[in-house]
Amino acid sequence: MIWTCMNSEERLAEYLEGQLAGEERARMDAHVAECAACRALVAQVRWLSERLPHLEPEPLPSGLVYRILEATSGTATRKREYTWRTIIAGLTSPRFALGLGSVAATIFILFQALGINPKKITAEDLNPVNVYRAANQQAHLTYARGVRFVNDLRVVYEIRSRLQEASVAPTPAPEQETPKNPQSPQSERQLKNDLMHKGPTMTASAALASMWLGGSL
Amino acid sequence: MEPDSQLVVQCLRGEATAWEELVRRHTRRVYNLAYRFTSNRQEAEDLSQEVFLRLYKTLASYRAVHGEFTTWLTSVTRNLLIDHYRRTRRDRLTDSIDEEGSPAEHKAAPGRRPDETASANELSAQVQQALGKISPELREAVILRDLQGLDYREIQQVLSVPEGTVKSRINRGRIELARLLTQMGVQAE
Repeated sequence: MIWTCMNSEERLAEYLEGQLAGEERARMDAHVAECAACRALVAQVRWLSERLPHLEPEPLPSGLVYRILEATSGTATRKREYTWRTIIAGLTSPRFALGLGSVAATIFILFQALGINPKKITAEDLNPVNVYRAANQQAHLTYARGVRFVNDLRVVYEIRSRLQEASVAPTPAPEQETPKNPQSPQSERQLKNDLMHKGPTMTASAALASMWLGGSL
Repeated sequence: MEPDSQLVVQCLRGEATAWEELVRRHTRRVYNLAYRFTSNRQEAEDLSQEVFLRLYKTLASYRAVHGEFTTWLTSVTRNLLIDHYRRTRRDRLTDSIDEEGSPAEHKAAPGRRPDETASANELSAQVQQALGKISPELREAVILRDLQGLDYREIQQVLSVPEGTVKSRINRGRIELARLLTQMGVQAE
């Protein structure tokens, strides 16, 4: 039987792995020694088989493991059965406690804004008309308090700024200091009384200016 | 390190950490097998997710007595790869016709001087290019044997074909790959 290139190809793996023995091995050796094409093929396949197992593995796309876990364990969570144990475990989890806390705080703030007393809550309190009325009343109250507060502040800052002006003003020369001088500084008490009286009648721009001055002090 | 079969038992008991460990341990193998077969990172990623979803659903059917977990995992992956190959065959045929219409892309294939030594990464890319050109039967046999390191018996189980067929496919696959690389100018030093 003649050993052809086809035979060499068929037995190449066995030949390279040393599993070809006896007469077959001798015949293939002889063929490869004579045939340049088969010699090149044997060399190339040997080289390739040695390198393939050591090729760098392809790097994993970032987050693939998490996406797989999300896709699979996500399914598991949806399929989970609800038993008393899982429900209690859910209720005692910090996430639930935090959520409950924020809901309670929101309700408390809402009740405060609507003027509802949580201890004496009645069906009437939840009537939309009453809720609107309470909210309206609460808003007006808050507005009135705000206005009063701003007015008080305005007076205080005006006094402070006037006092400061008075203390910074240059002291007049002794010869000019006559009781009849209209430029002489008023006493602090007089100034305060004057301002307390004039305060509410001040213009808006003056109030704003005095507030700004007070804030920068 | 706990054996895979033990982790499977823990998974079936509902231990989430055991499943996480299994996924971490085998994602690289599954992804690489899919990438080497499809030559497409996005497809490999989608297929890897599909493999683990399938695995998750059928975990109860795994029995350690039937063989290594890795072999079973490889079978699941391989079956999905073949399904995917059949599903997308029509698209690929259209693509290959389009490619033949543009000879410029063939010219862009990397040529190399004989004295140049291929770096590991370059060789990996060239092998990938050549793998894409051989038939899926030969491709999967070479990937399983030479890139994934499975032995003949395991490959026989994964492919469900006789040992003689496995050996013949690996042999023919390597020869075709070697010839393609020679044509690309990638040769034994």
